[in-house]
Amino acid sequence: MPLGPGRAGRGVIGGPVAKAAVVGAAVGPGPSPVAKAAVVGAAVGPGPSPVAKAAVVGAVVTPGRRRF
Amino acid sequence: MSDRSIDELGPVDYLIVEFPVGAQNFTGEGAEELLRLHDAGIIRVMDILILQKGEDGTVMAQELGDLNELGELARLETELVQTLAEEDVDNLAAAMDPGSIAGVLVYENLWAAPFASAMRRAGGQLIANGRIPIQAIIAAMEADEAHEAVGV
Repeated sequence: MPLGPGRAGRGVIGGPVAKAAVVGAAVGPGPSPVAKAAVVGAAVGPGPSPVAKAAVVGAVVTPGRRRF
Repeated sequence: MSDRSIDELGPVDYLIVEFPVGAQNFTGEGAEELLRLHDAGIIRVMDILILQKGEDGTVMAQELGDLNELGELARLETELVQTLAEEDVDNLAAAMDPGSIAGVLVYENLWAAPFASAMRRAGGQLIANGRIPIQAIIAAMEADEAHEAVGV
């Protein structure tokens, strides 16, 4: 069934979506470096999402968990 | 998008919930809970699509208006802003297994809007966000407990 005319134009997802990671993969042996996400303002601009181009931030993740 | 400015917009998320073959038990409970969140002002439902992926990989997309029995969801139809485009359908369907049905939801986190707006006014930039699966938290806690139990 074709979608309505309002669905034409550029998408917002930006690329094929991968199925969410299996839990085991998310519980790795240690924290992984967090990729720096795009600035919020840029995310609402026209064009493909810049999130995919995010630069990896090196080594700012403290190992272990804080207990509250 | 009424009279709200971009600066007042809360974070917008999407999620795809897949119902595999043999696990498609639709009772309307999910729709009721979604409406409850929307009506309570916790989220604003921006878009909904229903995707069906055939065994051969073909994907059929339906909008709310295409469904025969909308029930209470009907009143959301006029409020949707059609965030998703046709080219998004293939990208979203990439995560689906053949034979499954998936609901795609795009929503604004209204609860977070004032805080996000305040952060932006203070010069803050979102540099990372994400969701931690509850199973991962449980597994981490269990690993900590096991670690403490051996006294290392």
